[in-house]
Amino acid sequence: MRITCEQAALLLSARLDGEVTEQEAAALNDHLARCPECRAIAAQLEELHSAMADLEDMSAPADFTRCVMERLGEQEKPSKVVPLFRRPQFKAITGLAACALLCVGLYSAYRHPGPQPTAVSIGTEHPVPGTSPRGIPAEDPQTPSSAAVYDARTGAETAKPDESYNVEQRTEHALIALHIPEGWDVEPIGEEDCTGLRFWPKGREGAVRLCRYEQPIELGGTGLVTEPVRLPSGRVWTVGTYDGHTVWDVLYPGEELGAFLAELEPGVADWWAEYKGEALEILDSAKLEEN
Amino acid sequence: MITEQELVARAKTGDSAAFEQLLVQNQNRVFSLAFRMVGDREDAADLAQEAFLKAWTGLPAFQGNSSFATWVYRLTTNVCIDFLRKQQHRRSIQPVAAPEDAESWTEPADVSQDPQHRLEERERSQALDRGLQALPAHHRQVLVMREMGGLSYQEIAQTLELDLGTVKSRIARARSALRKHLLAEGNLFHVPPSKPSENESRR
Repeated sequence: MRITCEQAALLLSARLDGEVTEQEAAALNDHLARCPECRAIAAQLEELHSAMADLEDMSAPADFTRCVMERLGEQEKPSKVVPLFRRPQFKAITGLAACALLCVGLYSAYRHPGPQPTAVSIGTEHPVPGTSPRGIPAEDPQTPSSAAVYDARTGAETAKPDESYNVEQRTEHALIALHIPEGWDVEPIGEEDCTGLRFWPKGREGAVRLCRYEQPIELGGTGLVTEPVRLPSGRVWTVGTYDGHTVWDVLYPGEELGAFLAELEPGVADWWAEYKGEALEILDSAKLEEN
Repeated sequence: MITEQELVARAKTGDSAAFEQLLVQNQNRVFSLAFRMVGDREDAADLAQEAFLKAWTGLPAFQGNSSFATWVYRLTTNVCIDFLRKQQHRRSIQPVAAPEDAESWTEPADVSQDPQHRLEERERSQALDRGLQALPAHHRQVLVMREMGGLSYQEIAQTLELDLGTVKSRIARARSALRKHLLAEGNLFHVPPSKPSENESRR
């Protein structure tokens, strides 16, 4: 069986790897006997093959050894971030007050014994004055702190105009922006390991928190089941539920957990059925950027 | 002189200094493999680190049927493959990785070799690496998996979920492109082309 030079090239390559049949080997040898060009190519390919086997090692980066040994040592420290509402501290606190805002304030206080937010409003209409990502309150509640950009139209204390608007939370690490429709409230979250926005239907308890975590995260907790969900635009997010909950617990964009995570606070279960569609639209509007 | 076996035995008991020795002995080879597979220094460094961390946590299960070097080399192939598959799902493969300038090369281990020969070999290695980086990623990957990872065609096909024929032809094309690259760089083969117009007469 006569083969072309093109076919011979394929077989020469396969022969180097021991992947030719007897028939193919015979056809190849037959061709090589009659084709000096392919013979030369065969020799070059042989040389290439052994050169690849002899390829010199490159140097690993200078700090490679140190980095690996450090990470070895860190293996004890978990990089897992257990979602907020599974943390034992938070469970203890929820018993104290029903108001999600107060809980957020208390949680910050628990975590950061330093400067406290100046005003923690008990009530649902008034968001905590814009705090910087480090939990340090802005001097003037009306003006956003230098590290956060809060929609200038709405300010912090006044009730938001009854129309939809865009809001963004910007830190030196990331940007989170959302489109908030009529009938929803939003406020920035300013905790040490999670910066972002939380939003909820006006007058309801429990919010959806969309956070950007600074450390690498893994989801901790029992009985986690994940499945993809398609948002209105067609974008795919992944939903996680723990312990067979009927209401979702966490969501994140795409199929793999990155730095952004949405968590549903416990109170959300009361209004989820009614507002799920809109909540997903808000998540769908999210602009998430890491610097 | 402590053997690799002895180091592995100590590392298995949790002796991290022994593991560090194994790390130093193998890091260049592991990093080189990762770099040649994924084409990016930073990614390669991350993947190489991951491979060693997996080696550390997997040490209790390591039976010693192969050498530690072979075992960690195979771990590296696997982490690189996982990485490449995720990339494939996220976006279409970038056609060309930019050739790296000023890669750092290890000092020649064997100084007794004829310096001229050493120099030629180094030049050819460097040209080969440039050629590898110039390949389209999906060609480079299969070639590196075959030549350096030691996987069979079948294993490559299964891992990347490709047709066997596709693997075969991509490897052949990669070799053909490399061959031409080396010829174009200046006759780096000991076997010269059959005639001066050889390059043009081939398609």
